[in-house]
Amino acid sequence: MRLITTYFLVFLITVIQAFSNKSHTNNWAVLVDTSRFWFNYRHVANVLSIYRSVKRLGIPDSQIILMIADDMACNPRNPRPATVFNNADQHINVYGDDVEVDYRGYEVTVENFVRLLTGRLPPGTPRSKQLLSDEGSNVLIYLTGHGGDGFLKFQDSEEITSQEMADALEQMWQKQRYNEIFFMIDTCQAASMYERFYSPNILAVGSSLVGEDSLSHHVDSSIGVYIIDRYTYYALEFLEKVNPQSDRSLSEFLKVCPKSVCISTVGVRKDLYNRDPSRVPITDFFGSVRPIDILHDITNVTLVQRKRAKSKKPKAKPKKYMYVDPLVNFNSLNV
Amino acid sequence: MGLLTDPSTGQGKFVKILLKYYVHACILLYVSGVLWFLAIAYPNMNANTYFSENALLPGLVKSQFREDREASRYHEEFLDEMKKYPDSIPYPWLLAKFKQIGLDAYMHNFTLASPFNRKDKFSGKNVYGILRAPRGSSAEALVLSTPFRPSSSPHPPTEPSIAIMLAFAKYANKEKYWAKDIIFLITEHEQVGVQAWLEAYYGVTCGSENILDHGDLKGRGGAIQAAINLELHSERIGQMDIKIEGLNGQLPNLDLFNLASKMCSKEGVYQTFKNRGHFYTRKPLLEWWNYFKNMLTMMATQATGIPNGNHGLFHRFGIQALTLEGFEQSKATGSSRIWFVGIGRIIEGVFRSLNNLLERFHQSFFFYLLPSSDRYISISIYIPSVCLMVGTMFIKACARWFKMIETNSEGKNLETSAIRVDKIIITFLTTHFFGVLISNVPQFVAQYPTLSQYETNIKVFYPLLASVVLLTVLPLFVSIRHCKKSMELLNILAMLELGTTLICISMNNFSLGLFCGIISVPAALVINPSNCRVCSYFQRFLWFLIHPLNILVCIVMINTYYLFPEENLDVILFRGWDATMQSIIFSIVDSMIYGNWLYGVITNIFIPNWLCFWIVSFSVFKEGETIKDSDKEKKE
Amino acid sequence: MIYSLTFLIILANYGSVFCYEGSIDEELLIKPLQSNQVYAHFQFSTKWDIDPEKETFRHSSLFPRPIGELIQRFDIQELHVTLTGGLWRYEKWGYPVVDAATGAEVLAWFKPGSDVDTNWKLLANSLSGLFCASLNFIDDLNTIKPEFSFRPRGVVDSKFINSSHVRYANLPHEIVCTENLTPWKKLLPCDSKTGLASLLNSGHIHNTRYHSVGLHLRPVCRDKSCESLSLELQQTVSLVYDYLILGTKNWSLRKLFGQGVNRKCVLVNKSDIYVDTTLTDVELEPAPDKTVTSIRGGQTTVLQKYEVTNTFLNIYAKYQNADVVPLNLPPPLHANQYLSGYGQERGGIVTKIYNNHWKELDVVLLQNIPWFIPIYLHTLKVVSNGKELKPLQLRYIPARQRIRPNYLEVLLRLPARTSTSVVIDFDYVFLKWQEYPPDANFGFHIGSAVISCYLPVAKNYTAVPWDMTLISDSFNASRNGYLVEIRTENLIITLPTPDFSMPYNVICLACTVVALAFGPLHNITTRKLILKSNKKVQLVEKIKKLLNSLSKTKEE
Repeated sequence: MRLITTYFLVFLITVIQAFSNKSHTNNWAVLVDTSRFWFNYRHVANVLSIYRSVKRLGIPDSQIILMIADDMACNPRNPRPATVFNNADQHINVYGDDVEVDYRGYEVTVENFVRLLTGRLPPGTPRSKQLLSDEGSNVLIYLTGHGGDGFLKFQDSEEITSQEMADALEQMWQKQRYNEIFFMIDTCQAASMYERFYSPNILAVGSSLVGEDSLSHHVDSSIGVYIIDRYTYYALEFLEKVNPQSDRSLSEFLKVCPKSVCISTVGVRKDLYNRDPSRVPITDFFGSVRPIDILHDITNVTLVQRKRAKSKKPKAKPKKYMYVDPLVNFNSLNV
Repeated sequence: MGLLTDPSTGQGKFVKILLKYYVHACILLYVSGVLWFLAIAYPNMNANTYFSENALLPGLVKSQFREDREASRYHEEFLDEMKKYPDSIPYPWLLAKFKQIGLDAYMHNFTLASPFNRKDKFSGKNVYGILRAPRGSSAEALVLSTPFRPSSSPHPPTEPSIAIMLAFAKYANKEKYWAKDIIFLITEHEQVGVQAWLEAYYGVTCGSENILDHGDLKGRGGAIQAAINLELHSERIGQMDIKIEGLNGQLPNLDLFNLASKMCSKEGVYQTFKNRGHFYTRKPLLEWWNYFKNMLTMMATQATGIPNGNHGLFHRFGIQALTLEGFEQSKATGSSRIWFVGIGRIIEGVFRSLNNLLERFHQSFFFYLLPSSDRYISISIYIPSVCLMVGTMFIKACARWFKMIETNSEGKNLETSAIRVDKIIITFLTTHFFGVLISNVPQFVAQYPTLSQYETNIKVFYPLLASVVLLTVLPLFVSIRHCKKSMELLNILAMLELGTTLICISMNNFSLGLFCGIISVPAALVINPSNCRVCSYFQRFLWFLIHPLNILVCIVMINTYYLFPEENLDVILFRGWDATMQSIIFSIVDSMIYGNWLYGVITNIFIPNWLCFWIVSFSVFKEGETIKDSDKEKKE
Repeated sequence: MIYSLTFLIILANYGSVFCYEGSIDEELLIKPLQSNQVYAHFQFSTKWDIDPEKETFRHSSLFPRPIGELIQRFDIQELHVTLTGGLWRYEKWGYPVVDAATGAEVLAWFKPGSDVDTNWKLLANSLSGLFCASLNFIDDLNTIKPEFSFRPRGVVDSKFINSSHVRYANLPHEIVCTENLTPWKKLLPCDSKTGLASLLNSGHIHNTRYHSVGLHLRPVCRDKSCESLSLELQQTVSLVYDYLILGTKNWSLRKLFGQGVNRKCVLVNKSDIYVDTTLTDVELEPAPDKTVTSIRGGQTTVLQKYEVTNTFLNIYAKYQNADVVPLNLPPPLHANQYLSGYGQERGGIVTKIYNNHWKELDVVLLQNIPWFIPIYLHTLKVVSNGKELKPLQLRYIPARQRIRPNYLEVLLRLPARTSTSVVIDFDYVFLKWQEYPPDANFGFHIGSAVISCYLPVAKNYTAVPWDMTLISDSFNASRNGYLVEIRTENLIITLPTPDFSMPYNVICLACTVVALAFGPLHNITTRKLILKSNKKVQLVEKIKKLLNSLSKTKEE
């Protein structure tokens, strides 16, 4: 009797564990650049670097929300139009040929960002602008711009505080809009943004601690701007070596920019995350799970003529259509 | 004491203190104002210049200008071409060059009618080419302008500027990174040409009607954000002077000045402001004196309201502009000279930084004084000096008012009959009416064709002088100067007017406000309606000296003496008188063509105000008058 | 495996349109312009022979499905969307095939009986998602219903046109970049893998003085009798390259687009390239397949035709006289727009129209001025070479603050060979704090004016006639007149901008003033005034008084 009960309990526990260990079923990415103006070129390069990696590793455009506050690639000041490079030697064009920006220009506001995360968008919002994640989604959130202690500036005119950020993520949790979140932020005093998080399953990394500034990497003297930030530059370098089948772990990514190259200290928040980062593959957040089955034989299918419903209306008289005059005739107006 | 208490219920404590000590307070305030003004030049009171606008990113881009050979070639060709046109602009060659480079070339015709003889007309031509931004939409533009000076011009030559401008245009046309159109403008007839071009661009008339006919422009580049005026006198530049003073004392944004300054230092050319460069000395007093001299030079230029370069006319349109004047000889010993390559790189650096800007200049200061090219004095530091000086006027007016009320209330019965308010208002308005008349004398004269045979000097200046002199006898016709109370009230009104005017002027043109304040405030403080004969004569004498015309004559004479120290006294006097006439004529002409408000303000406000004080100083009454009146009432 | 089979079965049950009724054609027109520029115009025309009124748009094979959904959901009859960067310079380049203003422009005709306002707003949102552009900023604040300027280009069933069914909006501040091209390319049948669309490489086509991406949808006659309809979708890309930026005058497809044409897209009917060799003495390699001469409206044009086949095609042009600076003859009609006045109090908008034709021309001038620029109709002045002109008709709907923009339409008869200025004055107003954009000191945009005219000559004219679809249909297509819709420049106006760093100072000042006024008021209304003796009180007595008052309070 006791044996049966023990076996039954063990069975129950495994079943419950199996149910609670929901593996993630899809991946989403929310990549935000919050700075405007030509001299903030590097922030756009930052966000596009992550976009490029995420797309390369498999997340489709329909599941990436890219928010860029200003146009750098097609800016008339850019001597290399339609390109954004991460390097003064033009190694990688992170803008690419098939980029799709969902929120751009004046649309990148705190309100739109929070509405996007919480899913409270006005009716009529197109699908590409909605974060349609569910409880099995692993969401990668990347923010870059100018930040301070406890806030992030949007377009130099408004701010989002760390408390608002934490509340938005909590709303996401309550509405079961994510399975796990990987929160990356590359700004000055980045760590202050994730200090207030209180929802579970969030792993956060920031490019600098409170009181430190994140620095830019180098100047491109042919354009005359700082071209990329240090943390993202080295993160991109790491991600370029990752491919969709790679088994690099998240903890390797968390160590990507030591103080010797980044000058600021990379901050990590692990207490809300219940898995061990060294066992989590990086593609859990940067790549995408898509079950694909490849067909080898082609099946012939006969076409079925769709039966059109017999219209009971009497056949309408054929209308006579015409083109109108291209412009109003002045003589016909009573002048 | 509250704001809403009835003043007639009695005097509060504060008023008693005021009445007792106002003279001391005025003297103290005036002296502290002057001392403050002297102190602001001291390095500890002001700050180093810095870049406020992050978007400029000056000097970050590698310069790529290499068209110096082209510039030399253009220079030679242009000198040849100028020989064919001894008096006017060689516009066919310039148009052809612009077209060859690939710009949209246009010509602009304008006509100037002489303000005093409308039949005399002068025509001029400006030539300009627009470089269209490769991927832009012609919504914004930058201007690079040069005044064309024919060989007969008294000013130093500017052909190298035109050469470098063409070379820069050729270089810039090949580049892909311009976000704004660049307008290359070559103007004729110094400031008239630029004014005509700007008026045509914006479709306005800034001065009087029918004087400057600005014609029409066929090509535009959108809203102009900034302008750089080049006056290079030689191909090799040893000293680059930056000029910023504009029309009516307006200054460009300090960031633009900093940008030009930085680009010049980057190329290694000796960069000066007001022809004075950096100096290093250990003695603080000498340092202060150098800064103060520099500041005074800048204020002297700013006070006249006349721009010292073509850039000054851009400011009123919201376009930040300055002039780069290049000299071959430099004041500094051992400084290197730069050639066309260096000049081209300076221009390229400035324009690339201006190109980076997305917004108009709004971060840095628009009101400042520069004791040197790397230090600035912002409005918050210099305005207290004028405020302190002018505060004396208000305090004295306040005190005299309370005193008048006090004596009124003691007298009790119908003392208001002693103050003829209506007559005072009439007097006040009459003085201003005469002021308006004087300011319109030149225009009256211009409309009479019979007078056209006379020279401008004679037909404009002498009537003006005559009317001003005639007005000095006005006090004799004012009957109420026998009444002390009325004179007190007039005095208060005049003081309030002077104070308000000085403050308003200092907001726009601090230098003018300060100089007028320093001179007129102490004299105005002295004027009181008094019955002491000696005091009266002293007041009249002092106030006579303060007349705007007298001050002008003084300044011009001193200036003439400085310029021609070796001449005899009578020659100096003659020249000085001539110069005074010329300066008044020029001031009138400036106001009619450019809208310079100096002449208008002096004739419409300062002269009537001077008259009011003059009338007060002529107040004649006996001591016992007031008591007699009240006795009369008691009897009745 | 099972999934794929199920999918195919489902498709088979509904599939009935595998035989496509219609045609898809793609054409490229390359025209060297008088100044040192080359004009390249792509046109991808999809014609679908269905009745737009009866079709449900649920199944489409080659017609892009997203567009079909838009038509069906929002009852669209006609739609024109353009996204443009750079400015088309009419005085130097003549007339483009499709006129487009800088920024984004959306013009839509809705079917009668539909709720136009709601549909318009929803349409703008959907388009913003479809094209990755901020078209969702289109709302009542910048939408107008022009009466004369725009007429339906497609077929209609009655001559009476109700202008309450049209909506027009422009967003001058929109930029166009690769992110707009990517979804646009996805609407093409072969995407950008093969065919002429393979030339559209963003790094090259954005390196131009003018580039415009457009989508034009309209119902057309299926055949000559015009008793049944077809749906026509034209996707256009207009580009103007500059020789100085390219580096050389000898262009080639490789130089312009980064590569030659891959091969013909299998789904396409016609795939042709036309090179205009009228004005220039140019040698083309390889030799063209055919030479076409078009006489249209009195102007002769010589074009070289290339047909794209399944082989790789790169056209190389070599100029004989590379250093000739050409003479520029302006077209019959062109216009500019600029702001007049200075300061922040009042100003004026001036539209200058140049009529270089030897006869008078009738034009319609349309201005869509934002609500924060209050214009005054009584200041409207039309001056033509010094003489005042009276407009033939005038339509004006004044703006209401924060509700609708200014709509002004002026019908003019321009005298021959004149330049006419249309001037209207306005005031500068203050906006509310929140209404300033993040880059407030940049200024605000005023969109371009639209000047429509029915030109009698086809000088420098390349547009396709209304009853035709393809560029090849425009050859020898003389008509009574040729419609141009000239767009002018956008304007940037600097409104009085507050200092956004001042809120703390302002609050302090305001509070101080309120306190100064409040204090005495409160005192007067609540305090009782009593007489106080003037005698001087000794210190000892003062202390006694104080102790007394203290003991009193203790007792209480």
